[in-house]
Order: sequence, then structure tokens, then C-alpha cells
Amino acid sequence: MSEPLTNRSKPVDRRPMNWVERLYLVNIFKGMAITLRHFFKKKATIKYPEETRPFSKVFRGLHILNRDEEGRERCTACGLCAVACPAEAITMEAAERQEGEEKLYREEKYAAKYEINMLRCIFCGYCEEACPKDAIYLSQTFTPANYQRKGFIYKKEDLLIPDPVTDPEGYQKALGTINREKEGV
Amino acid sequence: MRPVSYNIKKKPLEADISMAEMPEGHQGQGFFATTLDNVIGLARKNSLWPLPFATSCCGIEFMATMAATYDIARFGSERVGFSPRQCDLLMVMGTIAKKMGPVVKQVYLQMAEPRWVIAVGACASSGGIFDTYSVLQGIDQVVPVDVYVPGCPPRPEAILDGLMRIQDLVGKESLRRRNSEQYKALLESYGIQ
Amino acid sequence: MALSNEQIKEKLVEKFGDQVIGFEEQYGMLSFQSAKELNLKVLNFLVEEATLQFRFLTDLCGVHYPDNKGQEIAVVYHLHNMRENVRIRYKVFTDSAQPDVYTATGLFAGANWMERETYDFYGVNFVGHPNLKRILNVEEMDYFPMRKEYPLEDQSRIDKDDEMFGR
Repeated sequence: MSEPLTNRSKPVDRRPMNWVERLYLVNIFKGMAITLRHFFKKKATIKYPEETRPFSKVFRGLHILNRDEEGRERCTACGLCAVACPAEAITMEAAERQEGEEKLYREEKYAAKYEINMLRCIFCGYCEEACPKDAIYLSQTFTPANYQRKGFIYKKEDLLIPDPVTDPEGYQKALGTINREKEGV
Repeated sequence: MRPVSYNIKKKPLEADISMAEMPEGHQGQGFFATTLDNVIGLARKNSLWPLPFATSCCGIEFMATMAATYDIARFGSERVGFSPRQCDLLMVMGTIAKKMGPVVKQVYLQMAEPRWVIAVGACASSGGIFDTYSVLQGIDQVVPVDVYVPGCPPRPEAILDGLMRIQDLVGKESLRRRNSEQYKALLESYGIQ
Repeated sequence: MALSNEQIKEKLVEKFGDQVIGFEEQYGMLSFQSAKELNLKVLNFLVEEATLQFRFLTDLCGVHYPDNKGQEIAVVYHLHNMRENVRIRYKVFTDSAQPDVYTATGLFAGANWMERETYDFYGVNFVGHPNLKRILNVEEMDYFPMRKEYPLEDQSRIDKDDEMFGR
């Protein structure tokens, strides 16, 4: 085609460089100056395993299964999180609460088995949004690496938070900075 | 509002890897004697050359890991080689389509022994949300994987954690492992001679 | 100066009469269809006609309508007039049992890969295409995955409990 396709084309500047430009001296010193300036700047590196960076309080990491104030599990195994999960990583099995288990489970139905496949999970937080019982949340812990696939099936005992009644120490540790944020400090 | 910030439960690692801080041996003035295994393991684990096979967003996180803030060079892995012949560690990051599977395998075959593989991110490890006709459901269908790093994409901390797991594995590895029957059987199961 | 959708429609009706049908305007973009035998004539007219000049094939794709018996597969051409910055959409429909459509590679060199892609996903047989084979999927694949009778999920997935999701 003889005519240009659009009316926006621009010609390229192909003039030869002049004598000063060809020496490259100015540009070399400009580059050296930039390199030198970095010697006097603050070091950017975070030495990861020793020092860690605070994550945002809305960071979506490993899941937790919540308990209420008396330490009873909140999950009722309704399956809404499993349905909401785009990666289909959640499986669960429901069971009925027996006599004498009122201290363990908040409602008459509970999750006998609750598994999340962390390799499938994409940490989108839809389970958190779908849960009507405040039972599942994501936390600020990132999922650690592992050697085999079976190491990523997180069962209920890996997900449940420490019981605030029987294990207040662990609960405080898991609580992290959340309490202070609640008070608005 | 979340009830707690952290999940403090520690999931145990799936293989028995307990690396000593220093190789056991005899120390005296001006000399240090130890077994050859440990010396080679120490040398290998602190100079892993990664080969990034980055196809999507996990590759971007790896670039963040390489950059100054996280600085993978502190682990001896700053030399990111793009030639499989010179690299020890294949890092597969991102969705591997079924059509890409043979390419991953070929890259793995071109690497010299000893070689290790990390699958970074949900897609490379298991297919992630891409449960479709065109996506490989985990690269362990084509190459043996040593360490999986979950996340979508994993944070640089998580990638460094995966690298440290690999370092534990490398430091602990026996020199005879690559000639063992089990290792040959493993490669055989992937159709690699 | 500016080319309006009415002008395009007038030009097309003037040339092809009632062989071009289904004119509609969605979000300001003109869309129309014709019988699949006419596709090259219509495309040629759109490219060559002095006032239309739709010289750029933005996209060529397929759509599967399983309920539209006898006309299951649509081939959609997106054309762009770069001088006036006007886009139009042109559709032809074909039977999924024998999806033969004439190739547009003679008019647009860029149609080559797009038609291979459409063949890859919908099985549209572009008559006269120089190299009609799979482009994106693995060569061993023996079906056309975007047709709705085939499952979307990978059948080799083992880590899912189907009972949980009602399938």
C-alpha cells in the first residue's frame, strides 16, 4: 500500500552523533555519579529469616478456624465456603453434636473433618466472605513451603486458633496486633 | 474484623530433614576436618544457581525476591542463569499449559546432575484455579519436584522459605543419592533415563 | 467526514440488498450477519469500497450456540477502519455437523492464525486455508474444547472431592 495506514506516523531521528556525543564522556560520568550516590543511601535489604517485615492487617495468608469466647468451635460445616471457593480446595464432613459436647462446639452441627488444600488455594478470601458464622478467616501468616503434596492438606487441627480458655498464652500469641487495632491505637 | 492475626500452628515438614548448623568434624588451630559429603553439601547449598522458568505473576514475585529488598544473593543464588546447562535449581513459576509441559521436561533434561526443582505458586504446584482442559495439574506430572511453595502468588518471604527448604535438602543430600536405585526408579517413573 | 453506522448500513444494503440481515447497534458498534457463502464477498466489499475501507481485521473468533439448531457455530469478524476509527462486527453462522466457511486469508494475512485458533477451539473448517491445524492446544487433543458438549474441567485432576460440589 502506498499511503500510510494511519495519519499518526512519526519519522525517526537518524542524524549522526556529533563529536562530543561520540566521546560518551559526559554520559559515563553521569552514570558513575548515580552509582556513587547509592553508596551513601540507606540499605534497602531486609534480612528475611532474622528480621521480618510487618504485613498489612488485611494480608490474606493461611486460614484460621475461629472459636468463640468460651473456646467453642464456630464452624457448622454448612459448606458455603466450599461452594464459594473458586479453586475447589475446601472439603468438609459434617457431624451432629452429641450430649456432653456442648463445651466443644457452639451449635448442634459441627465439622468433623475440615480440610483445605493449600496448594490449590489462591488466598482470595471468598471463604471468609461467604461464612455466615464468623468461623473462617485468613491470617497474616504466609503458608510455608514443604517437600511433598500431602504436607499441604491442612486439617482442622492445623487451622483452629488456640483455645482462649485452656491455652490463653497461645491465644495471645496468635492475637498479635489485632487487639490494639480494635482499641484504635 | 479478624479475630486473630496469625496462625501459629506449625505444620511439620513431610521429609526428615534436620540440617546441622555446622558440619560435624575435627577443629583445631588453622584446620577443620570433616567428611567430604558435608563439605560438598555446604558448598552446593550456598551456591545454588537458579534457572527461573517464569510464565506468569509468580515470576514477578521472584523478581521482587531477586531485587534489593529481599536480595536472594544473601543465599548464594544471585547468579540467575538462563541456560539450563549451568544451573542447579529449576524454579518453575506460573501456569504451565499442557503444551508447555514438554518444554519444562526438556529444560529439566538439559540440566546437569545434581539438579533440584521448586514449584512456586499454586498453578505450577497443582494447577490452582485453572482446573481446565489446557492446564497441567501440577508440574510433578512431568518432572520430579523437590519443594512446593504455595501461594497465589507467594510473597517473596515464602519464596525465600522455599529456597531455604531446598538448601536444607541440598546440604543433607548424600553424594551417592544420584546413583541410587531409588533415584533411578524415580526418574524412570517420569520416563527419564 | 466521519463515517456513521447509518452510512455503513446504507452502503451494505445498497450492494447486497436483503442478503445482509440482523443489523443491530450495541454500545455504538454496528453488527450484522449474512449467509456463510457470502462472507468473502461482504468482506471484500468492506475492504475495497472507497468510503468504507475496513482494512484491519482486529479479531476473528467463534461462538457456540448449542440451542440454535442448524446454525450452532458463529464465526465473528471484527473489522476496524483505522482512518475514521470506526469498528464493525460481522457474523456468519454455520452448522456444527459440517462447519465449512471460506477462509479470509486471501484478504487479511492476519486471518491465518486467527482462523487456526478458531479451528482449534470450535472445529470450524476454513475452506482454502493454507495450513489449518491446531495452534494453541496440544496436537494430541482429539476434540474442540470450547464446544459446549465437552467438559471444561481437566479430567486428570485427582485432589478434588466431587461430592462437595454437586457434580
